[in-house]
Amino acid sequence: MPLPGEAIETAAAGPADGQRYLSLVAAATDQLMAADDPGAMIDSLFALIRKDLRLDVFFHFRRDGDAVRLETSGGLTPAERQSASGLDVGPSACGQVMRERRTLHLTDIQTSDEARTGFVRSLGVDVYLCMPLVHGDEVLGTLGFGRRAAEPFDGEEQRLLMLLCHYAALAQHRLRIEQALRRGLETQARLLAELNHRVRNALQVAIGLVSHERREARDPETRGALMRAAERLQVLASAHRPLYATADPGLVDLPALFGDVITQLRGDPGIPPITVASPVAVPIERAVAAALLLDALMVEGAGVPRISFAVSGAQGNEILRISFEAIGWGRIADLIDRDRLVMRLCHQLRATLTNEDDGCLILVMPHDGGAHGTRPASH
Amino acid sequence: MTAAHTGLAPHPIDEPTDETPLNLLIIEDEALVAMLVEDALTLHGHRVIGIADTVAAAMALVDAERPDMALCDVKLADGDSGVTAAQLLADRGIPCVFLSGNCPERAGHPLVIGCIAKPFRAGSLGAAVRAAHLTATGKRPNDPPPALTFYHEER
Repeated sequence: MPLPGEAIETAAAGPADGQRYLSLVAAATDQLMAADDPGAMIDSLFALIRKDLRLDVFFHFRRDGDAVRLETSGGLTPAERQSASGLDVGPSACGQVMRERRTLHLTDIQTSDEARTGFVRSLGVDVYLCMPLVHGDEVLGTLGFGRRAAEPFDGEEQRLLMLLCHYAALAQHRLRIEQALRRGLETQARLLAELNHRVRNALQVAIGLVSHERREARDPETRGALMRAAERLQVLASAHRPLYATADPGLVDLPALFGDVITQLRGDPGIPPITVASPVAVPIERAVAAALLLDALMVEGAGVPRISFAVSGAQGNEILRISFEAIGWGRIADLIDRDRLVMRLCHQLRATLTNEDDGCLILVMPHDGGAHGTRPASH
Repeated sequence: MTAAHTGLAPHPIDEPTDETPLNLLIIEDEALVAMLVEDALTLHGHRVIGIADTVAAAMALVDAERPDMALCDVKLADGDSGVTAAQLLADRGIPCVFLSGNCPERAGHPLVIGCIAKPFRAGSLGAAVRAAHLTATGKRPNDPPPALTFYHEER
């Protein structure tokens, strides 16, 4: 009885058979590699080789944790398939193949009384070749092929079936990996949606609480302060909103965020005048800090400025220059010295504020074209 | 009620009492959080010697003015690790408390006292800092706030 990889008796097949088998291998490989369903994959393999290899029945048992179940079969009546599904695989030839991880080629089944071949004998099978589906150290299941005629599988046929079995195991492994990846992506999407909901909800609740306190406050100064707090929380919420919709989690489109913040602060749904030479995506921590900085600048600056984004410098050492142009905006460059929040935000962003003239404020900060995106979120 | 009234011996002049303001270092990279912590600590009567957002900045501040304790975020600016900052400070004899949404499981040094989980209540920060400092000086805090988790690392 040959073991996988063991020398099998010299093939008796002629050149014509060899050519035919090569064609079968090529066709089977195409099918196996393109398959997207493990059961249908083996069904189509059986349909492909059945006639050439004079096969009457086949069984594919799959290991599922500690259990073994019939994944698919061919050449059986519905009643026989039903019996095969309820078969106790352990004592059968397939069970032995799975335990011993070796191929069994059993002949003269109709005249033997071995318990392990009891089921295939009841189907009229006389020759049975059962092989383990192995990937690495793991037995994925078995493939068994039966002939009712008393014609043992010759060496070439065994080699062909073992090769196809090897490809089938590889294809099954690929399908399992794909399935695990799909499940992982689905889980990630669900978690992201949940996170999105919770963060937005929590921020919305916080905005609601602060707004409530503002309404209740009698002192105008307190009301003003609480209104600013609510607006800043709204800026935070704006920064988080686009985060969950991007293909690159962790990065935020900064010009779009600026537009969003201005629209909300001014209550104007029109498109703010923002010019961007190339996309500017920054990590969420920097996006939040930049948005809060814009918010602070908007309080001081009169009117909505025209904003231009420009990235310069070599990759890995890029500088982001944001200019704000409107009457009086150049005069608020000294905010960095007199406003604690602006000072701390500029420090966090490693940013400087300068002016070209009274009407133009320049914000310059490091920008590495998204390489910051690999940095984990701050806690 | 003073020590004289209770008949207890007064504290030696140079030994800090439970109410002595502490000189504290904040190591935090988020500007808003750093400001919140600074305000809360100042409100509780402590003095913040500075805010650092990288390991190098923290060491520079420590060289300039030795704090009584440091409050340290776990993830810092420029990819720096708060765990590294805490280790370096502890090696210099400065106790540390982490201030993080994701507290490290182990301290790695006896002077890394514990962790205050974010989000924290600004009102409880003073008591947590006081309890951590008492622990660092070998005393047992009476009623440490639940927000502070102690590491109890062997000295």
